[in-house]
Amino acid sequence: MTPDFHLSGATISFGATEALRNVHFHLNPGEFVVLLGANGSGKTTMVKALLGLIPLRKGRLDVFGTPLPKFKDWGRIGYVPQRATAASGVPASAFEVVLAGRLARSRKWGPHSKDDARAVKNALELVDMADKDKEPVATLSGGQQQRVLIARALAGEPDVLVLDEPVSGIDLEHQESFAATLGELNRQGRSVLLVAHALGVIEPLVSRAVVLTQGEVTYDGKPLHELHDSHVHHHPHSVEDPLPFSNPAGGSH
Amino acid sequence: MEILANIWNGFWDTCPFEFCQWAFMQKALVAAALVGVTAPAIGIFLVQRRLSLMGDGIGHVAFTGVAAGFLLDTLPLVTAIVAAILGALAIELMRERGRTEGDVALAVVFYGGIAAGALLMGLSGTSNTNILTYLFGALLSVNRADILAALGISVVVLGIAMLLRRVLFAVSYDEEVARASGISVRTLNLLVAVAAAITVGVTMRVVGILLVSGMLVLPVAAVQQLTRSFNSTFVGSLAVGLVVSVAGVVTSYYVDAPPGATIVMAAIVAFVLASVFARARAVV
Repeated sequence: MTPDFHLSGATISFGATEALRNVHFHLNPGEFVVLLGANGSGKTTMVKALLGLIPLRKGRLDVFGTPLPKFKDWGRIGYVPQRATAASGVPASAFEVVLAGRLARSRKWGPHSKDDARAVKNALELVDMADKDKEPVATLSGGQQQRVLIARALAGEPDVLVLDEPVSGIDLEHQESFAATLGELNRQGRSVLLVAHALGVIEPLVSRAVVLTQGEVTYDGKPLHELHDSHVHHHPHSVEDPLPFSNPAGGSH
Repeated sequence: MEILANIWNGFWDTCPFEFCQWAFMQKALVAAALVGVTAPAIGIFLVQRRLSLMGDGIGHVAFTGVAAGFLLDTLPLVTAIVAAILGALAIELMRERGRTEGDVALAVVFYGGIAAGALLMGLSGTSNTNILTYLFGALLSVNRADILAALGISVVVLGIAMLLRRVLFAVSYDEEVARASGISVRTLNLLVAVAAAITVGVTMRVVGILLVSGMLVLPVAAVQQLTRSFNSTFVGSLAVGLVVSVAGVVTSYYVDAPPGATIVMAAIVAFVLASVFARARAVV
């Protein structure tokens, strides 16, 4: 079985600091892997390396069996970056933001095709946002903006979804509906790699947990309950105070 | 050529206003309209990337280019566009490397551009009047070659902005995700920078170096207060750009003021009206 991602002996350094040290990691088709670790443990760095956004200093990365420099089929990967808001400088509707995630699969010039419109509609339906397609993203709630960004990742009809801390700052009720959505996407055959502080509501979905500690993999196996306990991270903005979204950083309005 | 001249004359004959009969006004109106539609089409991507002042940075470098043109005794417009392109690429590359923050990179280019321009102007012994026409525009003296240049550049820039709108939107909206979709983000950013530079080059003739950025940014800033999507902002900005340009030129005819100033003031009026309207709508 060819893994979706296969990272071997990966080292990444920023100046003198090593963000990742000799990391071995793989994600098999259909797996649901959660990547855990404290702030600064290298989770986001590793995810960006998998997406080809940060170069490896040492080691090797294969994506769907192809060495990274030769990999071209980016539509197979849907990426949801760590982001507090979907708002930008100029208003954009949910449809337009999701359509941007379709580019790996569509032609780059001219208006979008019917296929593109259908894929965007499906993606918005998957995250239960089909009725909000014309809404400007800046006016949506934090949880809704997050779902738009997930829909954007789904618009390219990917085989693997990579999500960087998608639930931080979303209230518990939305975390649960979000987990249900992810579970459904995984059941349909997509692999999922999710970065999180703690297992939390996604625990029942996870097939494997990988723990990074100061740039090294210190655990790779079944999602043990201890992981849940030892890595619970009390977010400063809890359910009662969803601050990151009521005051979107860099919002336009 | 004669047919074109007939169409041109026939068009102006249908215009009921006195100013339409003056050749300098006809050329001014056409040049301003072209710039009015083109500038926001590229400015919208700068606004979206929160690089609203990039047009200013490019304009300041264009000033060095104008001065170099005087010093080398060649067409200042050509050297201005060359300098603008180099400046735009420099800003983009500094920003991309991330070692210099976007605004610091702009600051370096701003002051470097003006200082180098002033230095070269001094060396070439250019008269102050000549300098002023570049700083504040010289719309009433545009000639046929200027209009053809503006037309050519408008077609190219509007073509780029319209044909590549989806992918340019994706890149300006979220560079990282665009890169992770296999889009050549750097090429597109450089393309926008170059398109912005040549737009600044022609816009400079109309409103002047100091007001160039206003044409790129103000129509977008006005319209985006009222719109709900990128597409409607794009279309609306082009329309507002066209209206304020024509209105500005007409106003300048009646109040006898520099058209660059009246065009940008008209854009400011549009911005204020849009703000008031947006507030009123929010209350109701």
